[in-house]
Amino acid sequence: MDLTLGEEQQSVIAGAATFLADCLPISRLHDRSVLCRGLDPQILKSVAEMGWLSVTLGEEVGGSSLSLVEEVLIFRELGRVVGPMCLLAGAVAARAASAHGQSALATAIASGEAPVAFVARGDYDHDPESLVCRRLYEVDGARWALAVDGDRVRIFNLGGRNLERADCLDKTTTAAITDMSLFEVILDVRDPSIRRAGGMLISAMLAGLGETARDLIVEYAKIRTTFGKPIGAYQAVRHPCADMEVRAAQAKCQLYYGALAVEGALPDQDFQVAAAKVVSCNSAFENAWDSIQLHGGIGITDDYHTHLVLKRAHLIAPWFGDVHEHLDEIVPSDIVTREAA
Amino acid sequence: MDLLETPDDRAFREQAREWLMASVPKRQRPSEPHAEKEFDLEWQRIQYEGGWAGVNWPKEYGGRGLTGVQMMVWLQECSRARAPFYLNRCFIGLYHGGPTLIVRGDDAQKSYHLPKILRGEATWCQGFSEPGAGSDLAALRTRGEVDGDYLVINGQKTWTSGAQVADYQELLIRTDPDKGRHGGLTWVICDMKTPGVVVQPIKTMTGEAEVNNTFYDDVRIPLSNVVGGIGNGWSVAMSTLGFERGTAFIGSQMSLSDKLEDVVALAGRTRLANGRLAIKDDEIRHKLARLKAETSALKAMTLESVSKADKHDAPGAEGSIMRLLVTTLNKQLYRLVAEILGPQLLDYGADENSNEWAYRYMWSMVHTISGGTSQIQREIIADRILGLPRAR
Repeated sequence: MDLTLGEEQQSVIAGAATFLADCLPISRLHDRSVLCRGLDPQILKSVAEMGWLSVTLGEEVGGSSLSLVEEVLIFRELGRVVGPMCLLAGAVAARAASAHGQSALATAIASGEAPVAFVARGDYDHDPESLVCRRLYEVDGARWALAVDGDRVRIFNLGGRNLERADCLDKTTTAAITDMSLFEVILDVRDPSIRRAGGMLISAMLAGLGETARDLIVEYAKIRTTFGKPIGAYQAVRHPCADMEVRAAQAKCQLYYGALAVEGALPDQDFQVAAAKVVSCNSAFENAWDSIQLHGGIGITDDYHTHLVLKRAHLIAPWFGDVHEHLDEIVPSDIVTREAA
Repeated sequence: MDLLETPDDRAFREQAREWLMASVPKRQRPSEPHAEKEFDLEWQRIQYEGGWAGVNWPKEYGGRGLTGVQMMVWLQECSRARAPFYLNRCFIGLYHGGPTLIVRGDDAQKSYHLPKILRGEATWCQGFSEPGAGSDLAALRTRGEVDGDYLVINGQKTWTSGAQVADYQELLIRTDPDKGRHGGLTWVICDMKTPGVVVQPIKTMTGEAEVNNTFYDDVRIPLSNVVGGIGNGWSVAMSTLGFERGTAFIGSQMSLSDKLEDVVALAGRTRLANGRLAIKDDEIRHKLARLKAETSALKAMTLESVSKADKHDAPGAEGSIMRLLVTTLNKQLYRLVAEILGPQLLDYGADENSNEWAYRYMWSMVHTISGGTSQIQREIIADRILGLPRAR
């Protein structure tokens, strides 16, 4: 048993961080021309060439044959820069296509031919698998869309159709609300491994968001002064920052552990995924809320990064199961009767 | 990075499990201090005879020399077997005094004390905190003056757990008041039977008197009991505390998940005032689930920390993160217990055996204060991990 990163894993992180600092720094999200538009196709191509959409896939579809551990390391870095969600949708869709005999589709997605949109929930008053009136994100330029409802995995062909845009709290994505039954289904399977992998990748991005929320305030607390001292010298600021560090450390270690548990198909893998989602949500939200507060006025401005972190957490936290579903998985309501039986 | 138990690790786990099953004492730990000490020493002797004493000590000092991962496995198995908890009267000797002597003591000190600790022949207590020096340890004022071959000690220590029954004390005193806060301190072994040492128990909210005030009135300690040299007490004490913040609390971290399962079972058999089983209450159930997720993360953090230590990466301030987390989660857990139990919480006499839930509920408030308060742990994280500017 060993939960430390190997040299190769450290270089995966360093490589991803360097690329993102150059091509997708968080500051890009304040450029109005970038908002309301999808990922630059050139960047999608570069990301695909680095193998980020096919980390765990075999070489026959152009994959790198690495493990979910390396994949979560990359997506944690993407979370840190509030990275584009079409990459996560693409990585999960390519994984599903490849696992279910659709190599051509897997290759097309993994090579970054076009982005993949994510089909999130509609409203809650109907069957979760229903296709009527679903929310879609990352729709700009998307050729495919991925829906994962519990164990059911579907990929749709959007067929270049123009979707009517909808508003979204997170202005860094592009959204639509549409009836998905109008679209051709090109993959429809039940496979819990896709939900698990997706859950770990979302946990990775949430963990990254929590780290950014922490880093923003820790750096600011060193330079912003009040009453003649940097605010980081006051315990009213230092202690909540320390709590952010605790939450970020929890999210990181559970992320590693969960990824290894899924990779090894351990008997408690579903618990580990649920635990990863719960603690990474905790880190992303609590750290974002505290970071906004401790920044003071600047923390609530549009020009600053903190609100982007919080809004992104709201966008992605429910993907592949929301916190209530995960808590129900961890301690089911019928736990007593189950144990008696 | 992997979660695989090597064949060696698996064999080790099975060996530990088998031995514990056959050896864990069946009788309840008594609550009277002297009987409690005898119980703890006897368990230590059983472990010694079985080859399980000093799991964290190097082999050359008679310990088991376990790797960090094996130590985690051992403490996991102890918790699983409901073995007597390791935070007992032998803890300071095994996890504080002993390791400090191993690193900083001279040959005579090592050969006299280490075997006694290991064999369950002596217990130790800690003499660091004072009424005016708790979180701010370097403010301590208990004086030690050299007189020939002796140090003459005058002053007062407080919060000394188990002092009324301890044989020895790791005592931190000020030998030179002119050398600044950290400069003039000395770490010395105090034989608790020395004339002039007076122990006065402090009754706590549990009704027990586990902690004490210890007074020193012209207590003469031979200079040969000084560890690490006169005036080097701060660095000797930091090697002790560094150890505490590194691996000494793995046992608490490992046992939390077993405690949680006990509380899930409690919620499955306890009815709330509205007549519903506590586990059927969604708010309670979701709080338990959150605690399980957070405890799982704590276990992962522990594994990361011990696997770092096994690669000879000295434990850093991340021990403070885990200490803050485990004590906080433990407190949340017992607050939840109080919520589940309702009026049953009140059925408490004067010790653990009258109502272990109420007892542990009160203890959960001790653990976020003792051994460095949660506030001090946050200060350490802010200073040493986040690099925030200091106000102190």
